[in-house]
Amino acid sequence: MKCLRYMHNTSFRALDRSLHLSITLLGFMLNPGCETAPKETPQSKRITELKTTYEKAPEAAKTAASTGNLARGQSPELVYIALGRPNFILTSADGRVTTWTYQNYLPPPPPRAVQEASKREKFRGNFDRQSQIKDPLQDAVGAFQYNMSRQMVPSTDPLDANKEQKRSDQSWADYARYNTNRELAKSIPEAEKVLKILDDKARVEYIDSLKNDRIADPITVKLEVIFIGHQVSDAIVDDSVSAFVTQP
Amino acid sequence: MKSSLFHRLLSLIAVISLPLTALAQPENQPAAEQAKPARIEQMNPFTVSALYAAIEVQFTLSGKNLFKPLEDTVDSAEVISLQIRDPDDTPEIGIGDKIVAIDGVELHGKTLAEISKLLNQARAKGVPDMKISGNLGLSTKTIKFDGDWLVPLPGLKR
Repeated sequence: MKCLRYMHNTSFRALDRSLHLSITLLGFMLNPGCETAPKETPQSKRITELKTTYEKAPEAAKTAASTGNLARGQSPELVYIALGRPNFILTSADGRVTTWTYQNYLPPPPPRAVQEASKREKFRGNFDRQSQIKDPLQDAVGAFQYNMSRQMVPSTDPLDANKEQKRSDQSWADYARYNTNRELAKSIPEAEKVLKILDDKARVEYIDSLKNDRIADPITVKLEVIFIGHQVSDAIVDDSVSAFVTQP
Repeated sequence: MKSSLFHRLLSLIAVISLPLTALAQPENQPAAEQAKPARIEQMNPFTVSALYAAIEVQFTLSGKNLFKPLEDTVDSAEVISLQIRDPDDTPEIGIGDKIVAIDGVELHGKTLAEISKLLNQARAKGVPDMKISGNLGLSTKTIKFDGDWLVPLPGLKR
């Protein structure tokens, strides 16, 4: 009896396995592209949202938008595909000049070839940004990150022990102002007292920024995309540098 | 006889030249004409607005109609630039102030076209009342303001 029950169970298990296998195979046959399906990116999600506008766009604009890049003359729809919904939208009274502000903009990684070239150049010790980064937006962001790395070098000055780091929602101009004020404060007799006030204020603001920001990452930058009419006219990184102008 | 003819000729010349002298001297108008009430001067509205400082206003949009800013609703309206025409003028409005309402109608939730219509109606009635709040928005005040907008609202000239 036991033997019979065992045979019954094993045959059912075998049937069950073969059924599973056949369903899986059928699934693969019905969906031949499943293995080669492209990885879903935020841009691809937004392309499906605005499919008709995207398909009408020229090929170069399509490529830029789908890789998260900006270009002069792009329409707001393509900028939305590339960067998503802005944090703030400001407009002039006549509605002609509109500015989309991205508070925590993290630029897309540079293409693989550029990354490889960058690594090689770093290895050689010849850090010439002009020769490596061709994308102006990347270049602008690279310049800021390079400046940031200079700021982050630990100072040997004991008065810099409590110096606060840059907030993610803070512009580089504002952070530079904080640093300049600190440098000026060092030259006065009550330097320690003034520096403590400055550093305490910066620390409170930094802690607040961690609470308020969704992405509290110092490598993100503020990006303002300016439209005149229905086209991108300029993009300003961190209140100061145009994303479309190559950095010196 | 000759002298009487001469006198007649003189009096004729005098009679003829009388209206000509009147034309040559316009201040010698008849008294009845001078008693008329003075014509009411219609002042150019642009001259009236020049009494006030000119402002530039920037609107924060809600983003409900992301791709059509003219059809998007407004969250707030902030004065970003101020041009004082008279050096002795101390305007009641300043940079950073937010315009909350015009003639008692709140701007929040309205499109730029609706705000333009609202301001136009308010100007047609007289000097618009503007409810403004300061930088922090803690207090509001209502002022009479009919200054130029350096960037005019759609459909308006100033």
